[in-house]
This record gives sequence, structure tokens and C-alpha cells, in this order.
Amino acid sequence: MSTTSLWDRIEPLLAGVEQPSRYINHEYNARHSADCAYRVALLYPDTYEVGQPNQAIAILYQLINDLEGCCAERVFLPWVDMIAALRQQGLPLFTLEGCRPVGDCDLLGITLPHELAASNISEALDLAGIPLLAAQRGAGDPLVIGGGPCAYNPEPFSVFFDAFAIGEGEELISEIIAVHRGWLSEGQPREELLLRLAAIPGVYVPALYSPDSNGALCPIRADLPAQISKRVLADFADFPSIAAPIVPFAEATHDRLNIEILRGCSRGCRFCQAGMTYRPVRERSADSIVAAAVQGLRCSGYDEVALTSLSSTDHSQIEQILRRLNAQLHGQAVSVSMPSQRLDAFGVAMAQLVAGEKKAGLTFAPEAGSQRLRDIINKNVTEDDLLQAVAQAFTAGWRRCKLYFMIGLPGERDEDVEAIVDLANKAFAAAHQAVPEAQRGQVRMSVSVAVFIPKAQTPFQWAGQLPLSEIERRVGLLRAAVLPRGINLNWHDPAASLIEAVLSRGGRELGPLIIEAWRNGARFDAWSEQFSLEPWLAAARQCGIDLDACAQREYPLDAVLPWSHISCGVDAGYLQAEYLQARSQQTTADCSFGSCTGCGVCNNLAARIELAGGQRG
Amino acid sequence: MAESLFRLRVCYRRGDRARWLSHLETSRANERMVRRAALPFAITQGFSAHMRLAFGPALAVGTAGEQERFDVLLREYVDVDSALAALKANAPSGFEPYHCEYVDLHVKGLQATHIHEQYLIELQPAAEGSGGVASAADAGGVEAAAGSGPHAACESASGEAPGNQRQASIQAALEQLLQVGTLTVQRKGRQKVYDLKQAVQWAEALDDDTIMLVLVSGEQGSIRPELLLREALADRLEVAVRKVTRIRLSDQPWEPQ
Ligand code: SF4
Repeated sequence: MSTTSLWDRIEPLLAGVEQPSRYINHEYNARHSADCAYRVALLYPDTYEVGQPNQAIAILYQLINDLEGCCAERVFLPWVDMIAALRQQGLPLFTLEGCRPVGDCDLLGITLPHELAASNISEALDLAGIPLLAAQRGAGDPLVIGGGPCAYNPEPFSVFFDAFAIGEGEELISEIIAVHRGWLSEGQPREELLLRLAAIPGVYVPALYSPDSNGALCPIRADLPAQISKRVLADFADFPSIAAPIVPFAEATHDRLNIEILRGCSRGCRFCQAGMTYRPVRERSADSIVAAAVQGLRCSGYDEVALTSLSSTDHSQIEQILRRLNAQLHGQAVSVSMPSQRLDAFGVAMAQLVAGEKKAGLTFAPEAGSQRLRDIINKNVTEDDLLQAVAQAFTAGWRRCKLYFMIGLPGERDEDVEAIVDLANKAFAAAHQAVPEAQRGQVRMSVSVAVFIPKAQTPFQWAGQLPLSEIERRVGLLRAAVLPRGINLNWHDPAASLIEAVLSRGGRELGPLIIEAWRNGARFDAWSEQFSLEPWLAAARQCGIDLDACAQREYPLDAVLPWSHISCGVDAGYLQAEYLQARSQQTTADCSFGSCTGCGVCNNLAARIELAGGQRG
Repeated sequence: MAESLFRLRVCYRRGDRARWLSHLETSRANERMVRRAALPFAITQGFSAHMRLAFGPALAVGTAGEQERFDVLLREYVDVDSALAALKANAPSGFEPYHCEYVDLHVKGLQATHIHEQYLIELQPAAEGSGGVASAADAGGVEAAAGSGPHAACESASGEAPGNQRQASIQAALEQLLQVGTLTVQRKGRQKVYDLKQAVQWAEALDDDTIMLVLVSGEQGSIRPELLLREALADRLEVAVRKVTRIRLSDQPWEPQ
């Protein structure tokens, strides 16, 4: 295996590109091994500053580097100027640590963070000189494995991948590596490798599944599982946090120490994929969180620690954690943050506890404007909750906040869209009221409206997306609204959300579409200034795919879904029941605050809820 | 505030790959080094507390620095050897703290005092047979920055230099620019006019592939050496810069030997 560093040829390109610090590696706590038997490249399919904060990559990086004889190197997609320079010089995509061609590694692991990363996967493989199609790869090519949120509907991406790791990767990664190393030492044919990989629980090998007459993907051999269930890390609470995080030179999007304080959220929002796929809720203890934060700050030099999770204020010991961190970090100019606030008095009280003098901004996500629609999506907050939280925050000294909403949700009517404007106005008035008269001019509220994307493995997986023209009409309702100065209303590009919906709920037939769109020039689709619908429309014509039909299709409840052979552990019957509950505007409670609501995860995966403080609420 | 503070000045080198950092990235890397070293740093009071740290004049992206400095205010006295040892042990790759000293709290900041900058600019060696005029397009064959000292290139190149015709042409071009007296720079829509008599103390082609510039920064800030060079050589000579190093940064004027 060649391990030549490309650095001498890369460095002369740096004077001609933006932000050369993206490419230099050697950050504090980065790990290097000149010689090791087995090399893994971990690719995040976007730029350094977007991908470096990714926690999945950080966890795998540490675990693999700790394995005997293995090393992990990071790979990010260079920005367009650097891609052009590399292609011009005939240089391939390279790993950061060793500055080696990505094609020289043994295993290439690719994170699939969201649907719009699809074209970047094509770009990355092509730049690496690795055949795009898994079926075309030979003995000299790395094993290419995908994981992350989009692996819950892997089919649109399946042409690129030899296998997918479904669910939490902490234990899975070493099992995959062990199988691969064993196979490498024996010189068996590639088919044998695929079979051995497919025997690992949580690994899906697309080449070993083919559609039956109903379109259901079925194993081609009797000894393969009909359905692949996600892996879940049973002892998350005791599993160590990242010991020595890499400290970037370049400014990353979330440039701070991240401590994952809990995993999972069972509030049960019906549009939310993470809420279904990370169940059950498991918390780390206050002791281990405080110790990890103090030790992580010491060995990184960061001036901010974020307590991350899907809903950090829900941690049963959150108040204790924040008070202890405040005491321990006093006088060091370190700030403690939580990504978003629970929409109630307690949420604001917790934010107040760590904000100190610095009250930069708060983020609330009511998601829908009317109570009717909030009941449909199971967002269990009321208008009073929001208005009280806002009043409390602005009384406490905050002067700006962000509100997140969605449009195009199942069951949405025009009055629900108009209710977004109403609610924003009421929240703004509540903020005004709470602030001394002389300071009212400082009150700012930003209202972001995203377009609903139906996601696999959620109660809304059967629902279609609205036609683009209809979404645009509803955006028009928002646009027409008269808002006071101080409210800034913005919305996501509906065109990009069409592509997200297609890739979120389509099947295997979409592989060629992604490749054609990339050939037509699509890449960095998650960057609004880089995104263009044109390459996708042209690709759809070339491949004979009807994008609108794919995004808008309503699946019958008993339909075979393109992801039916993949399970996050939640029973299909539970998702169906939740979809019917939505239609009748019935809400479902959060099992981590009360009793089991029967989603099936704990039973199916032999896992259980773990609350560090014994109980919540 | 009754507490007494100590102003620790840290001298460090920025080289190897770290020369590709921006000023902001360099500042952040230094601050994080101080935190990891667990020095008893002072913080600002009030709204958004942060470490009390001050930096010298910015070092451009791509430029190495041999005598960079920053000041950090400490709440407690730490002897300079322990401070230096702690910083060294926690320095990121490409950063090398080599000296610490205490400076009077009332002395003006580094930006205001350390205005004398001496640069060494290494050019790509002239392409063979081109009579001393190198092609800028020839970017191949570049040596790794690591390990090559500021003079490595000129020593190896001077052996087979085709006379010193290139050296003489560069020298003539530099002098001609200085005669003009001003340099106008457009950056991000704004225009800056530098008085070269004030801003450039010395400009000399040391040999075919090495240029020394001594600059003095003023109200306008300092000129980027590459810019000055581009302006001087624009239509006359094609040269490609291989490496720029700020070899001296001082509050004292440079004196020709
Ligand atoms: S099985 Fe019950 S307790 Fe477990 S996550 Fe699902 S609803 Fe909650």
C-alpha cells in the first residue's frame, strides 16, 4: 500500500485558494501514525469548517485510532477553488493527517448528514479516483461504508456503497474493521467479504438485496436477515466522552467543546426523524458530564463548552450540571451553552443560569403557528408557553431571539400559515412589553420558516410534500404579511426542499439521478448560493424520473416503502398509529417523563431508558 | 479593580504549516495555548468576558515569522521560565514560543511600538537557460517548507546562478519603484496610498533568488511584501515567490551592517 504524502504538491496550491488553513492539518490533538497496518479515511462530504465539528466523525476517529494496528484520518471536501486546483494539477482527494490519496486507504467511511450531501459524495469519490459505483470496484479499491442519518433510507445512495452501518457506530465500527482485516489477510473474493459484513447485526449490504415482484427489497440468500435493525449503544451512560478533541486552526461552524450529555428524545414530534431513530433516551450522569467538560476544556483551550443533545434542557439533572459548571469555571471567561431552549419557563430559567451578562440570543422552535397544527405534529407546547417564555427571557435581559417554524406540514391550511405571522407578532409584543420603554428599540426577533420534508422512519413518512407551486403560494402568504420593524422573517429555498424530499423518500432508482445531477454540475447543494435546481431537472429528464411525483407521492399505510427493510427499532404499527392520531389531532406524551407509550424500541432492541437522576419533570 | 496585574510578553516563531493561518486564526491559537498552559490570565469585566490579550502587527497568510509577539495580562506573577515551559508544552504545531519577559503595564501596545519589520523573500529559482528570468507558471518542484531555513534556497541556487543578471534586474526594479515614491493599493473596494519613503527603509536583492525588505508600518498599517514586489517587478520580470519570512519585528529601527 502506497503511503506517500502529497503535501509537497499540495502546499504550492495554497497561496491561490481561500482559507488555506482548511487543508494544513496538524491541529492540536490531531493524531498521526506514520506506519500502521490498516488505514481508515473518515469523510464528511462538505468543507472542513462544516464537517470538523461533526461528533460522529470525532467519536469514530478516537475509537479507530485506539484500535491496535489501525489509524483514522479525516477527509473533507475541498472548497470549489481547491477542487479546481487539484484537478488542474491531476491531484486526488487527500486525507488531512497523512496527506495521502484517499483511494489508498483500506476503508472509506462516509457520513450521510442530510440529503443535500448526495452530489458531494459523487464529487468526493470522483476526485479520489475511486469508481463511483460499488459494483465497479475491485481489489485495489477501498471498502466504502456509509452511516449517519440518511442511512435510515439508504437506497437513493446505495449505488455508491458496499455497505451501510445502521444506527450508533461505537461498537459496530470495530466489528466491521475486524471482518475486513480478516478477509484482507485471507485473499478471498469480494463476494465473501460482502457476505461476512452482512452477517454483522446492523450492517446492510445493498448488493445482497434485490426487489421482489412488489418492489420490496429482499435478501438474495436465506441466511440473510429480511430486515436490518439499527445498533444501539446500550451503555451510552458509561461510555467515555471524547477525551482529547481536535482543536481547529480554521474557524469551524461550532468552534467549541461539545459534550454529548444525553442521547435520544422521545417528545415524539411526528415530523422528526432524529426523535424516532435515537430512541430510547439515555443520559450521562452529572458527575461524568462535569468531569468531561472540565477535562475537555483543559486539554483543548476552548472558551466555550456546549452541552449537546436533541433536547439538553430535558436532562434530569440539568440544573445541577449547569450550577456545578458555573462554579468550576468561574473567572475563566468560559461560556456554557445549549443548542436550543425548551419552550417553557424552565427552559428560560436554565438558559439564564449560564448566560451571565452575555445574553446573545435564544432559540425557540414552536414549529407551527396554530394550536390545531401543533397538535397534529405532536409539538406539545401552547401559545401561552411561548409567550411566557419570551416575556421571561426579555425581562431577564435578552433583547433578541429566534423562532423556528415549518410550512407545508400535513393538514396545514392557509389560516395555519397566517397563524405563524400572528404568533410572531404576539411574541414580539410580549417581548416589547417585558422590556423597559427606553430599550424597546433594541428588541429583535428573527423568524425562520423551513419547508416540511417527509422523512423515512417517522409517522409522517407516508405523507407527500406539497407541489412546489403550492409551497411558493404559501410562502407568498408569509411574504405579504405586514410585520413591525424588528421582526425579520426568512424562509428556506423551496426548490432545494424538493430535492431533499425526493432523496428522503425515494428508492434505489435514484442512484443514477444523483450521478447525472452531479455530472450536470450539482455540488455543495446545501450551500444556498451554490444550489441550482437546473442540474437536477436535467438529470430527471435524462433518467426518466418524475421528481414531483416522487416528492408528492402519498404512500398507503400498507405500502411497501423503499426503506421497509431497514428498522430503527420503532414498530411500524406505532408509526401508523401516530399518523392516524395526527389526522385526528390527538397528541401523544413523552415516555421519558411518564409511562411507556408503546413505540417498541426498548423491547425490540433490548435497550431501556436511562435517566441519571432517576426521573424527569 | 484593586488587583495587581502582570504583563507577560511572549515571543514565538510561526512557521511550517502554521504560516498559512490568518491573523485571527493565529490569535485564537495563541489564546488557546495560554488556556491549555493554565497561566493565571486576567479577563475583561462585564458584558462578554474574555482573556486580556494583545497582539503585534498581523502576519500575512502564507508568511512565516521568526520574532512574533503577544502580551497577556496575568493575575499572578509566574516566573518567566515556568511560563515559557508551560507554553512550550502546550503550543500547537508550527508555533514555537522561545522567550517570555515582563513588560511595564504602561508601555504602549505592540501594534504601536513594534513597527519595524524585516522580511526575507525567497523566489523560485530561475528556470534553467532562461537567462535569469523565471517563469511564474513553473510552480512545480517546490520544496517542502518544513526544515528549510530562510537561506536554504539562495545557498543552493547561487552555485549555478547564471551570473547575477537577475539580481541586478530585481535591484534596479526595486529602486525604480522607490523613486516613484507612492504605492496605491486597492483592497475590498477601499484605496490605500502608501508613502514609500516612510514605509520602506531598505530594499535589496541579496542574490538572484532572495530579496530583503525592511518596512516601517505607519497609520495605514504595513505593506504586504508580495504586493510591493508585484508592483516593482510587474512588467519587467516574471518571478514567483516561494516563501516569505518576517525575520525581525522590533520597536527599534533596523541598522544596516
Ligand atoms: S418502548 Fe416505550 S419506553 Fe421505550 S422508547 Fe418506546 S415509548 Fe419510550
